[in-house]
Amino acid sequence: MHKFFSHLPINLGNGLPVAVLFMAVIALMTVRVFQSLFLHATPQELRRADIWTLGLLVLFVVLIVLRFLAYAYA
Amino acid sequence: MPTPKRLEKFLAPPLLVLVSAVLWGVAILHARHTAMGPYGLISQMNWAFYLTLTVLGVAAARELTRTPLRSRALLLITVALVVVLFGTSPATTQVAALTDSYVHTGFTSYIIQHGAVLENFDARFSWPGAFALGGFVAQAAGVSTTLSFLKWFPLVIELAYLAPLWAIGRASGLSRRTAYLGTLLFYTGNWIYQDYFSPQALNFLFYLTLIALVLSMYRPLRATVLPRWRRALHTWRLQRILGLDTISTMRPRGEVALLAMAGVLVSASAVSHQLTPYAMVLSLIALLGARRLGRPELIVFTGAVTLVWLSLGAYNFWVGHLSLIFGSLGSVGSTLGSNVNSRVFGASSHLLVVKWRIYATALMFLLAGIGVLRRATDDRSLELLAGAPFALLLAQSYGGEGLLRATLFSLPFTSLLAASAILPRRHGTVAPWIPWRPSQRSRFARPLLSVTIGVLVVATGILLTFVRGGNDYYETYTSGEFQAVRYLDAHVPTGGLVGTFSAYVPLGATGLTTYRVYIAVLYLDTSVATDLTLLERQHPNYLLLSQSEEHWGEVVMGYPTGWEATAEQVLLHHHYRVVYHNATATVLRRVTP
Repeated sequence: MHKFFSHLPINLGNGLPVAVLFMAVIALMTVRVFQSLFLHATPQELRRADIWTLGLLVLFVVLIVLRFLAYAYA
Repeated sequence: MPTPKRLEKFLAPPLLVLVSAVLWGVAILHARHTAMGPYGLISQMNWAFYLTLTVLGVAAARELTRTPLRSRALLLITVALVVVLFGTSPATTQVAALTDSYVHTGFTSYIIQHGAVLENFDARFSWPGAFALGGFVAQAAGVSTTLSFLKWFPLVIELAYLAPLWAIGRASGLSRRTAYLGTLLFYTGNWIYQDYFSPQALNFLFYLTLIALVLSMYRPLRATVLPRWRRALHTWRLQRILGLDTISTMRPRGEVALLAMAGVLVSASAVSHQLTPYAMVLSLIALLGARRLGRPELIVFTGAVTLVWLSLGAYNFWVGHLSLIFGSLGSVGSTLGSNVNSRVFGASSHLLVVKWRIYATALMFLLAGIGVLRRATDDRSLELLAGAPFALLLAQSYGGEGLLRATLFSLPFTSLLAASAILPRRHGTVAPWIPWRPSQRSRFARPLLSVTIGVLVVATGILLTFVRGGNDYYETYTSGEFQAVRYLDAHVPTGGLVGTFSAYVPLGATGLTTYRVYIAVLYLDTSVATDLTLLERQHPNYLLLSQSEEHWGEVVMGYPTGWEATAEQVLLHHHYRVVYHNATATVLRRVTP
């Protein structure tokens, strides 16, 4: 386990991927709020937005955890 | 004989508040900071102070039981009570209390001077939002430091809490009487001294405002007719998680505007405090479960912005110290143990204060428990909000302070539930556990209610003064001690070391990067001799001996009276000589290498 994490690229720490994913999640959620409040989107359309948001959110959290692990085992 | 109407006029709230103001003035004029005893603030209060609280308690009880209810009168009484409870300490002391408030001023001054934070200096600098705001306000006010803000900051921020507290009370589905009484109980129960000049004080305002915003924006969509336990199982259905069990009280544009405002609040909190954003996330989850949040996006946003700042902005804090964040994950037992046990020690006076703090908290939770059983409601948001902050203890002991902070985050809702024990709502879609019977109504009900409220407000007000001001004996400073620190600022060379016995000295507002400070006692199992050995081993250029340190040694460490004078004599025989002295502080300088 230690060996695996110690090989994680330390440059995950430059933060760019984390920041990009964060902005993507926020943008998607904002669109969803506007879709439901002003554009009267159908439940199917909202579900599609939810799936995308959830997917990016999972990626975002995974990346942050990897970032912590990369530094912990560096 | 005055007629009842004239008596009513005579007892009008402004007059009662005026009487209390005069009495408070008498109490303040009588108080002498230098005459303070080991029990802290309450030891310098005379009869006039207790009479002030009694008059305000009578005014509150009278207003809360009269019909119709007068909001303005209650506002006046509440403001007066807050001024008395939180203004007495600053009004009777010479300079601001608490070392941390001076250190925070030092951080703010650094940002004013350099326009940036100091890297790798202190963990708190990794969340610099509040310090930057402090610097901005100081510059806008035309001063070079926030030192002049410190003394009265607790009173100002407590008054600022009043607006969101009233909004929470009104929007949480309680009657106006209960909401006003709950607000009063919040103040008489807030002994947790987190309102000094600090990021947590400001962030508690953000926290209250966020909850007030959300509670005002959403209502439960429908009444559930299921049995109590089956209804509880429905809390985490997908429908509720998506926020579909609520209805917005706003038009779409208004909702978007308030959500944007909530986003700004959350972002400000994420960059200015370590703990509050997590409490926000937990409380928002509680609101979602209680059908009082219609936008789960707000929870995701709060969590994401908090994680992003921790990962990117607070990088300096956690690199190499990951155990500080994840070390106590899941170890609730040891967290609780370290939080409670590390505080119950010291001389008998200190032990008494600490024990009564526990009793005061227990009383509030006991009343809240009764309130939960007695009240009818449309949703259980208050119960969930009161419990949610304690989930913080699952992840972090927060340096032994986690339990205190969780109690503080819970207090606004606990106090509203405690008020429900006395003034419960009688009708709602969720029936009370203890049903109300019309036979309970009698001609003595209102006078009895009035007396109960009056006694509760006065008793908890006196208890607050005792337990909140219980550390004032060593946490408040004299102008002499402050002058001694000024002397150090002017004379310690760059890179020099200043030694103290304890952290209870007004150091830190200046000289943040000029000199270092060594505090001898960071552990409890020590003695004056050990402290002296530790101090001498470090060879500090200067030593600061002060009255607050002397008091701290007597009350917290159990050192004998006059221990500091003895220590000074020893130091004078070990290469130190007195270079500055006044009635409450002495500065020693090392004369040989």
